[in-house]
Amino acid sequence: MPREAEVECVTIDHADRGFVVPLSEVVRFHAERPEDAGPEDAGPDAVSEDSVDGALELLDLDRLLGAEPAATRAACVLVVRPEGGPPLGFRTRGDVQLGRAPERTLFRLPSVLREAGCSGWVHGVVAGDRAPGAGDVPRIWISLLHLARSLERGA
Amino acid sequence: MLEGRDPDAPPEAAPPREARQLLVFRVEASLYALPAGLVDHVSQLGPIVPVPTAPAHFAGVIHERGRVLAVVDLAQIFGAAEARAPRGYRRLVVLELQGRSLAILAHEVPGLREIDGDQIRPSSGGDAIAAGELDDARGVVTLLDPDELLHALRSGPEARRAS
Repeated sequence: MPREAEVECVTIDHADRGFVVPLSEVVRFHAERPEDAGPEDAGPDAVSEDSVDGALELLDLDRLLGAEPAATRAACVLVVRPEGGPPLGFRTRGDVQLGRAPERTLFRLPSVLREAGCSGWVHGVVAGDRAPGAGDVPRIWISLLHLARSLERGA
Repeated sequence: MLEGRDPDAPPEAAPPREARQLLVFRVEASLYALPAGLVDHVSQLGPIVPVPTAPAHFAGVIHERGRVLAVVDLAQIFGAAEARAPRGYRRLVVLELQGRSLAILAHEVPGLREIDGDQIRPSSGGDAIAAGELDDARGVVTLLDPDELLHALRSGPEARRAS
Protein backbone atom coordinates (compact mmCIF):
# COMPACT_ATOMS: atom_id res chain seq x y z
CA MET A 1 0.00 0.00 0.00
CA PRO A 2 1.56 3.36 -1.02
CA ARG A 3 2.56 5.64 1.80
CA GLU A 4 0.26 8.62 2.26
CA ALA A 5 1.81 11.97 1.34
CA GLU A 6 2.45 14.05 4.43
CA VAL A 7 3.65 17.55 5.23
CA GLU A 8 6.08 18.15 8.06
CA CYS A 9 4.77 20.87 10.28
CA VAL A 10 5.04 22.66 13.59
CA THR A 11 1.91 22.64 15.74
CA ILE A 12 1.23 25.44 18.22
CA ASP A 13 -1.55 24.57 20.65
CA HIS A 14 -3.34 26.87 23.05
CA ALA A 15 -6.13 25.88 25.41
CA ASP A 16 -8.88 27.00 23.03
CA ARG A 17 -7.36 26.54 19.59
CA GLY A 18 -4.40 25.22 17.66
CA PHE A 19 -2.32 26.31 14.71
CA VAL A 20 -0.14 24.55 12.16
CA VAL A 21 2.88 26.06 10.38
CA PRO A 22 4.74 24.23 7.57
CA LEU A 23 8.11 23.17 8.92
CA SER A 24 9.66 24.33 5.64
CA GLU A 25 9.05 27.93 6.74
CA VAL A 26 10.75 27.62 10.10
CA VAL A 27 14.54 28.06 10.17
CA ARG A 28 14.63 26.84 13.77
CA PHE A 29 12.69 27.02 17.00
CA HIS A 30 13.89 26.99 20.56
CA ALA A 31 12.82 27.77 24.08
CA GLU A 32 12.97 31.48 24.79
CA ARG A 33 16.28 32.41 26.35
CA PRO A 34 16.87 35.22 28.80
CA GLU A 35 18.53 37.29 26.07
CA ASP A 36 15.39 36.89 23.87
CA ALA A 37 13.11 38.45 26.44
CA GLY A 38 14.59 41.94 26.11
CA PRO A 39 14.15 44.69 28.65
CA GLU A 40 10.96 44.56 30.73
CA ASP A 41 9.63 47.79 29.25
CA ALA A 42 10.21 46.69 25.65
CA GLY A 43 6.56 45.76 25.12
CA PRO A 44 5.23 42.68 23.36
CA ASP A 45 7.56 43.04 20.40
CA ALA A 46 11.24 43.52 20.99
CA VAL A 47 14.71 43.11 19.51
CA SER A 48 17.11 40.66 21.07
CA GLU A 49 20.73 39.73 20.45
CA ASP A 50 20.48 36.30 18.87
CA SER A 51 23.56 34.09 19.06
CA VAL A 52 23.11 32.91 15.46
CA ASP A 53 21.67 35.89 13.61
CA GLY A 54 22.74 38.84 15.70
CA ALA A 55 19.87 41.26 16.17
CA LEU A 56 16.61 39.31 15.95
CA GLU A 57 13.30 41.13 15.90
CA LEU A 58 10.79 39.30 18.09
CA LEU A 59 7.04 39.51 17.56
CA ASP A 60 4.32 38.33 19.91
CA LEU A 61 2.67 35.55 17.86
CA ASP A 62 -0.07 34.89 20.43
CA ARG A 63 -1.23 38.49 20.19
CA LEU A 64 -1.22 38.37 16.39
CA LEU A 65 -3.27 35.15 16.45
CA GLY A 66 -5.70 36.40 19.08
CA ALA A 67 -4.92 33.33 21.19
CA GLU A 68 -4.99 33.15 24.97
CA PRO A 69 -1.56 31.93 26.08
CA ALA A 70 -1.03 29.86 29.20
CA ALA A 71 0.82 32.26 31.46
CA THR A 72 2.69 29.48 33.17
CA ARG A 73 4.09 27.87 30.02
CA ALA A 74 7.63 28.76 29.02
CA ALA A 75 7.79 30.76 25.81
CA CYS A 76 9.16 29.37 22.57
CA VAL A 77 10.64 31.32 19.65
CA LEU A 78 10.07 30.27 16.03
CA VAL A 79 12.51 31.89 13.62
CA VAL A 80 11.69 32.48 9.95
CA ARG A 81 13.78 34.19 7.29
CA PRO A 82 11.68 36.21 4.82
CA GLU A 83 13.20 36.32 1.35
CA GLY A 84 15.68 39.18 1.08
CA GLY A 85 15.10 40.25 4.66
CA PRO A 86 16.53 39.70 8.11
CA PRO A 87 15.39 36.78 10.25
CA LEU A 88 12.29 37.31 12.33
CA GLY A 89 11.33 35.60 15.58
CA PHE A 90 7.75 34.80 16.63
CA ARG A 91 7.37 34.29 20.37
CA THR A 92 4.58 32.05 21.65
CA ARG A 93 3.52 30.51 24.94
CA GLY A 94 1.60 27.78 23.09
CA ASP A 95 2.61 24.13 23.22
CA VAL A 96 5.01 23.78 20.27
CA GLN A 97 5.51 20.33 18.76
CA LEU A 98 6.73 18.80 15.53
CA GLY A 99 4.10 16.88 13.58
CA ARG A 100 3.16 15.40 10.21
CA ALA A 101 -0.08 16.30 8.46
CA PRO A 102 -1.40 14.00 5.70
CA GLU A 103 -2.11 16.11 2.62
CA ARG A 104 -5.74 15.02 2.66
CA THR A 105 -6.17 16.77 6.02
CA LEU A 106 -5.19 20.18 4.57
CA PHE A 107 -8.11 22.35 3.52
CA ARG A 108 -8.04 25.80 2.02
CA LEU A 109 -9.98 28.42 3.92
CA PRO A 110 -13.68 28.28 2.87
CA SER A 111 -14.20 30.70 0.00
CA VAL A 112 -16.78 32.80 1.84
CA LEU A 113 -14.14 33.60 4.48
CA ARG A 114 -11.60 34.53 1.81
CA GLU A 115 -14.19 36.76 0.13
CA ALA A 116 -14.97 38.37 3.49
CA GLY A 117 -11.39 39.59 3.73
CA CYS A 118 -9.55 37.07 5.88
CA SER A 119 -5.84 37.76 5.61
CA GLY A 120 -3.82 35.68 3.20
CA TRP A 121 -1.52 34.41 5.95
CA VAL A 122 -4.48 32.46 7.33
CA HIS A 123 -4.04 29.82 4.68
CA GLY A 124 -6.56 27.19 5.70
CA VAL A 125 -7.48 24.46 8.10
CA VAL A 126 -5.96 21.15 9.09
CA ALA A 127 -8.66 18.69 10.07
CA GLY A 128 -9.42 15.00 10.04
CA ASP A 129 -8.84 11.81 11.90
CA ARG A 130 -5.15 11.69 11.01
CA ALA A 131 -4.43 15.39 11.39
CA PRO A 132 -1.76 16.20 13.97
CA GLY A 133 -3.44 15.95 17.33
CA ALA A 134 -6.34 14.11 15.68
CA GLY A 135 -9.97 14.56 16.67
CA ASP A 136 -12.62 16.64 15.00
CA VAL A 137 -11.26 19.97 16.21
CA PRO A 138 -9.50 21.66 13.30
CA ARG A 139 -6.29 23.59 13.62
CA ILE A 140 -5.77 26.80 11.70
CA TRP A 141 -3.10 26.47 8.99
CA ILE A 142 -1.04 29.65 8.89
CA SER A 143 1.99 30.92 7.00
CA LEU A 144 4.50 32.76 9.17
CA LEU A 145 6.40 33.91 6.05
CA HIS A 146 3.20 35.40 4.63
CA LEU A 147 2.45 36.97 8.01
CA ALA A 148 5.94 38.49 8.10
CA ARG A 149 5.41 39.99 4.64
CA SER A 150 2.00 41.34 5.68
CA LEU A 151 3.50 42.97 8.75
CA GLU A 152 6.30 44.45 6.65
CA ARG A 153 3.78 45.95 4.22
CA GLY A 154 1.70 47.28 7.10
CA ALA A 155 4.70 48.77 8.90
CA MET B 1 2.68 25.89 -0.61
CA LEU B 2 0.17 23.10 -1.02
CA GLU B 3 -3.26 24.14 -2.13
CA GLY B 4 -5.22 21.71 0.03
CA ARG B 5 -8.61 20.23 -0.60
CA ASP B 6 -11.45 22.40 -1.74
CA PRO B 7 -13.73 22.96 1.27
CA ASP B 8 -16.52 24.06 -1.07
CA ALA B 9 -16.62 20.81 -3.00
CA PRO B 10 -20.29 19.91 -3.47
CA PRO B 11 -21.71 17.23 -1.22
CA GLU B 12 -23.42 14.15 -2.52
CA ALA B 13 -26.48 14.96 -4.62
CA ALA B 14 -29.54 15.67 -2.49
CA PRO B 15 -33.05 14.75 -3.59
CA PRO B 16 -35.11 17.64 -5.01
CA ARG B 17 -37.14 19.53 -2.44
CA GLU B 18 -40.42 21.45 -2.56
CA ALA B 19 -39.87 25.06 -3.64
CA ARG B 20 -42.31 26.45 -1.08
CA GLN B 21 -40.91 24.64 1.88
CA LEU B 22 -39.03 26.71 4.42
CA LEU B 23 -36.71 25.68 7.19
CA VAL B 24 -37.44 27.70 10.32
CA PHE B 25 -34.76 28.24 12.94
CA ARG B 26 -34.29 30.41 16.00
CA VAL B 27 -31.32 32.66 16.75
CA GLU B 28 -31.55 34.34 20.15
CA ALA B 29 -35.23 35.37 20.39
CA SER B 30 -35.70 35.82 16.63
CA LEU B 31 -37.14 33.30 14.20
CA TYR B 32 -35.71 33.08 10.67
CA ALA B 33 -36.50 30.96 7.63
CA LEU B 34 -34.66 29.97 4.48
CA PRO B 35 -35.88 28.02 1.43
CA ALA B 36 -35.53 24.37 2.35
CA GLY B 37 -33.91 23.67 -1.02
CA LEU B 38 -30.81 25.53 0.13
CA VAL B 39 -30.45 23.52 3.32
CA ASP B 40 -28.13 20.55 3.09
CA HIS B 41 -28.75 19.31 6.61
CA VAL B 42 -29.14 20.28 10.26
CA SER B 43 -26.72 18.90 12.81
CA GLN B 44 -25.67 19.19 16.40
CA LEU B 45 -23.07 21.80 17.14
CA GLY B 46 -19.51 20.56 17.36
CA PRO B 47 -16.35 22.38 18.37
CA ILE B 48 -15.85 25.65 16.49
CA VAL B 49 -12.37 27.02 15.94
CA PRO B 50 -12.09 30.81 15.61
CA VAL B 51 -10.21 32.05 12.55
CA PRO B 52 -7.75 34.93 12.99
CA THR B 53 -8.67 38.10 11.05
CA ALA B 54 -12.17 36.80 10.24
CA PRO B 55 -15.02 39.35 10.56
CA ALA B 56 -17.05 39.10 13.77
CA HIS B 57 -20.06 37.57 12.03
CA PHE B 58 -17.99 34.43 11.41
CA ALA B 59 -17.72 32.41 14.61
CA GLY B 60 -15.02 30.25 13.04
CA VAL B 61 -14.79 26.99 11.17
CA ILE B 62 -15.99 23.48 11.86
CA HIS B 63 -14.97 20.10 10.49
CA GLU B 64 -17.99 18.03 9.60
CA ARG B 65 -18.47 15.01 7.35
CA GLY B 66 -15.03 15.47 5.82
CA ARG B 67 -15.64 19.11 4.96
CA VAL B 68 -14.54 22.37 6.55
CA LEU B 69 -17.36 24.90 6.84
CA ALA B 70 -17.39 28.56 7.75
CA VAL B 71 -19.74 29.09 10.71
CA VAL B 72 -21.94 32.19 10.67
CA ASP B 73 -23.36 33.96 13.73
CA LEU B 74 -26.49 35.69 12.41
CA ALA B 75 -26.86 37.56 15.69
CA GLN B 76 -23.77 39.54 14.71
CA ILE B 77 -25.29 40.35 11.32
CA PHE B 78 -28.53 41.58 12.88
CA GLY B 79 -26.80 43.30 15.76
CA ALA B 80 -28.46 41.13 18.41
CA ALA B 81 -25.27 39.77 19.94
CA GLU B 82 -24.08 41.43 23.11
CA ALA B 83 -20.79 39.60 23.22
CA ARG B 84 -18.37 38.52 20.54
CA ALA B 85 -18.35 34.90 21.66
CA PRO B 86 -21.45 32.99 20.54
CA ARG B 87 -23.42 31.56 23.49
CA GLY B 88 -25.97 28.84 23.96
CA TYR B 89 -26.11 27.63 20.36
CA ARG B 90 -27.03 23.97 19.91
CA ARG B 91 -27.58 23.44 16.19
CA LEU B 92 -25.95 24.08 12.85
CA VAL B 93 -27.98 24.75 9.72
CA VAL B 94 -25.72 23.80 6.81
CA LEU B 95 -26.47 25.59 3.53
CA GLU B 96 -25.38 25.73 -0.06
CA LEU B 97 -25.40 29.36 -1.26
CA GLN B 98 -24.23 29.95 -4.84
CA GLY B 99 -21.88 27.00 -4.65
CA ARG B 100 -20.54 27.92 -1.22
CA SER B 101 -21.09 25.68 1.76
CA LEU B 102 -21.55 27.35 5.12
CA ALA B 103 -23.20 26.73 8.46
CA ILE B 104 -25.46 29.04 10.46
CA LEU B 105 -25.55 28.83 14.24
CA ALA B 106 -29.01 28.28 15.70
CA HIS B 107 -30.37 27.94 19.20
CA GLU B 108 -33.25 25.81 17.98
CA VAL B 109 -34.58 24.41 14.70
CA PRO B 110 -38.38 23.94 14.89
CA GLY B 111 -38.27 22.36 11.43
CA LEU B 112 -39.80 22.56 7.97
CA ARG B 113 -42.90 24.54 7.18
CA GLU B 114 -45.07 24.48 4.05
CA ILE B 115 -46.32 27.91 3.00
CA ASP B 116 -48.33 29.59 0.30
CA GLY B 117 -46.93 32.71 -1.32
CA ASP B 118 -49.72 34.89 0.02
CA GLN B 119 -48.68 34.08 3.59
CA ILE B 120 -45.55 36.18 3.10
CA ARG B 121 -45.87 39.91 3.65
CA PRO B 122 -43.22 42.60 3.13
CA SER B 123 -40.65 42.92 5.87
CA SER B 124 -41.38 45.65 8.39
CA GLY B 125 -37.73 46.36 9.09
CA GLY B 126 -36.66 47.61 5.66
CA ASP B 127 -33.62 45.36 5.75
CA ALA B 128 -32.51 43.93 2.41
CA ILE B 129 -31.61 40.56 3.98
CA ALA B 130 -35.23 40.18 5.07
CA ALA B 131 -37.21 39.10 2.00
CA GLY B 132 -40.44 39.11 3.95
CA GLU B 133 -42.25 38.01 7.07
CA LEU B 134 -44.82 35.38 7.98
CA ASP B 135 -46.68 34.42 11.09
CA ASP B 136 -45.94 31.25 12.96
CA ALA B 137 -47.34 29.77 16.15
CA ARG B 138 -44.09 30.80 17.83
CA GLY B 139 -44.11 34.36 16.53
CA VAL B 140 -43.08 36.35 13.47
CA VAL B 141 -40.64 34.57 11.16
CA THR B 142 -38.23 36.61 9.03
CA LEU B 143 -37.69 35.04 5.61
CA LEU B 144 -34.05 35.59 4.62
CA ASP B 145 -32.99 36.53 1.09
CA PRO B 146 -30.15 34.11 0.27
CA ASP B 147 -28.38 36.45 -2.17
CA GLU B 148 -28.50 39.38 0.25
CA LEU B 149 -27.34 37.14 3.08
CA LEU B 150 -24.31 36.10 1.06
CA HIS B 151 -23.63 39.73 0.18
CA ALA B 152 -23.74 40.66 3.88
CA LEU B 153 -21.41 37.82 4.79
CA ARG B 154 -18.87 38.97 2.22
CA SER B 155 -19.19 42.66 2.93
CA GLY B 156 -19.94 42.83 6.64
CA PRO B 157 -23.07 43.95 8.47
CA GLU B 158 -22.26 47.63 8.04
CA ALA B 159 -22.35 47.26 4.24
CA ARG B 160 -25.84 45.76 4.12
CA ARG B 161 -27.98 47.17 1.38
CA ALA B 162 -31.13 48.95 2.39
CA SER B 163 -34.24 47.93 0.50
